[in-house]
Amino acid sequence: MLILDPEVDRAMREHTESGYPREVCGLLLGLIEFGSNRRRVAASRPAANLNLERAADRYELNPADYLRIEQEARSREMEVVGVYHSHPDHPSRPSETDRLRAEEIWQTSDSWSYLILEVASGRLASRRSWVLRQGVFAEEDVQILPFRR
Amino acid sequence: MAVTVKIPTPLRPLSRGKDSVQVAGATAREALEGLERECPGIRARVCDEKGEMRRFVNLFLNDEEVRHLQGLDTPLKDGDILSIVPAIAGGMEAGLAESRRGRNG
Amino acid sequence: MAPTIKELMSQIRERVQEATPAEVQARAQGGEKLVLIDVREKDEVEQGLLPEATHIPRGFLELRIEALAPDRKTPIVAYCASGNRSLLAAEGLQRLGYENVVSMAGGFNRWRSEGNPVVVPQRLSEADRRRYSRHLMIPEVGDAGQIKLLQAKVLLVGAGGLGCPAAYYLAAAGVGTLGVLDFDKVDESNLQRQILHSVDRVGTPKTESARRTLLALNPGINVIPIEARLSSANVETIFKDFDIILDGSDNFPTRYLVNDACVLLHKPNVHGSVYRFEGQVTVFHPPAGPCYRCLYPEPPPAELAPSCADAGVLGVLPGVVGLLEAVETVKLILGAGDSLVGRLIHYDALKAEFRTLKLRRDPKCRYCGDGAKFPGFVDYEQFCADPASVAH
Repeated sequence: MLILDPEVDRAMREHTESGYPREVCGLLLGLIEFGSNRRRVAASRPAANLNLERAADRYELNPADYLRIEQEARSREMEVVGVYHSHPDHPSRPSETDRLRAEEIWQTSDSWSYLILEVASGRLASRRSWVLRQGVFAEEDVQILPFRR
Repeated sequence: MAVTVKIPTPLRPLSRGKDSVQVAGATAREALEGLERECPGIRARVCDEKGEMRRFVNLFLNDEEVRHLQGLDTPLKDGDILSIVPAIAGGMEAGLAESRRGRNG
Repeated sequence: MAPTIKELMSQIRERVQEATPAEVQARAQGGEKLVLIDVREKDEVEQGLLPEATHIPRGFLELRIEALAPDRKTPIVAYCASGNRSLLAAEGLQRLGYENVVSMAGGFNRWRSEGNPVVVPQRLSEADRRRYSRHLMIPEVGDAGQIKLLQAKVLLVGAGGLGCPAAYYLAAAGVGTLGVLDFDKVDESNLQRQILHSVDRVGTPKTESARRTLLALNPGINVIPIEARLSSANVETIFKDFDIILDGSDNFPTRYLVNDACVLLHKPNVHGSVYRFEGQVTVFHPPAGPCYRCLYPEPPPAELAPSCADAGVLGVLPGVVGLLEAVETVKLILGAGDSLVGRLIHYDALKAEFRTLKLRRDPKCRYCGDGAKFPGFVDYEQFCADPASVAH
């Protein structure tokens, strides 16, 4: 389950709507409860999409941004718990490209949360979250609750 | 040279949950060998069979990517920080992958 | 008593083997890694040399041979005008320990009279020497490099935001033949970045406008305007006479045609893209690196193609990227430095940051993969919300 702080929800809506019609991406910072596998998101951070050529339908998250954001997470005693990206005018389900690229990173364990936001004609239409488990994406519930340690 | 290797979330199962590991090495390559001794199996996720960096992994020495320096032969100093960074990417196409609800929801 | 020159030459003939021009031609064509050395004087060589020959005048031979052929077993054929100086030269090489040296009997004169091929070296005119003097001073360019530039043929696909700055500097550099392919007419909104064009050219074909500006800068080159829309029917014919293609196009159907033709014809494809404050450059030239389809096997589906109205860009950005493309083109022509094949440069103007990304060929790519049979050209549907074409 993915629990988003309302401020995070708002920030991601703004980021993905302002990036339309291009894909934008970013990271989710927070804590993972290992017993229940709940991911509690305290903050979202936009990252640069290095794919200039096909930004309408591809994203490559700038590794230098990942480094910087992970450092911030550590300094706040949190970690990167997920990645968010937008699907302009497209359902918020993972594509085969999403799956292939995620599979490269996650071999044996369950992945972090992949939150996909559908932005239709410039307005956020839906958001759904997914976890890669043994090469296949399974949907997880999303709840909006204020973040508390 | 005593350096710190930062482990990103996806590789923490191989480092027993630790987010950083202390190793010794004169170059990035040696540091990864040291890392492999501490966390068996981790090097294969970063390098391929030829010993080259995998395309979907990035390695930073402090704030610079080692590919902008001397690659895996980049020399290290005491106190350097090597960070392994996953290449996160994706995209859309007309046909979407089927998804299944997992048992844990 | 000291030998006469005749006696000396007889002695040398006993030690140094001679080969006829026919034998030398057979060896050169037989795939042997032969080193041909022309030992005549500079003024003699201007009339022509053997193909693939290196010119080292007799006086400098021993001093320069080790740099050219360090391995003493290198097969060497030395020749001069009539076969005498080359005997002396070959003997000098033997004294240096070269084991496999022959002299060509009858020299260049016999070679030519027997109908063998000859290459006449291009020379720089005095006007060229003045114009390109700053190039001639650089070791990586010099006379030989400037001649390569003058002999090069580069096609610019698109005379827009990327093509204009690239063409301008390639013309300045003395690239001898520039093809400019565009079917559009100059529009006022182009003038924010398309620096080959001007107010008085609004309404004229971009190819014609480009031609006038480029020739005003450098009348010594050829500019070939190609006012056409690229398609599967014409791409091969247009591309085949050029050495390097510089892609300044702004739409996916063209990018795929450019890629596919370059893969088929084995030509380097210098590629750039821009958006707002960012730009990217790479060179597609499999198999050393990927082709465009290794990265993007298919264009985006029509509903996902970027809206043409969303083509905002800081005018100077295509200038930066177009010039990086021009630099890569010059490097390819000169054979200098490390090309961007297999690497991509990403420039973020707001952060003033450059970063390099590594790119790899896909061995299973349908177009450039191992053992791939060329699948053919595709005319993808032009999709754009705005029917008027918008250049970079």
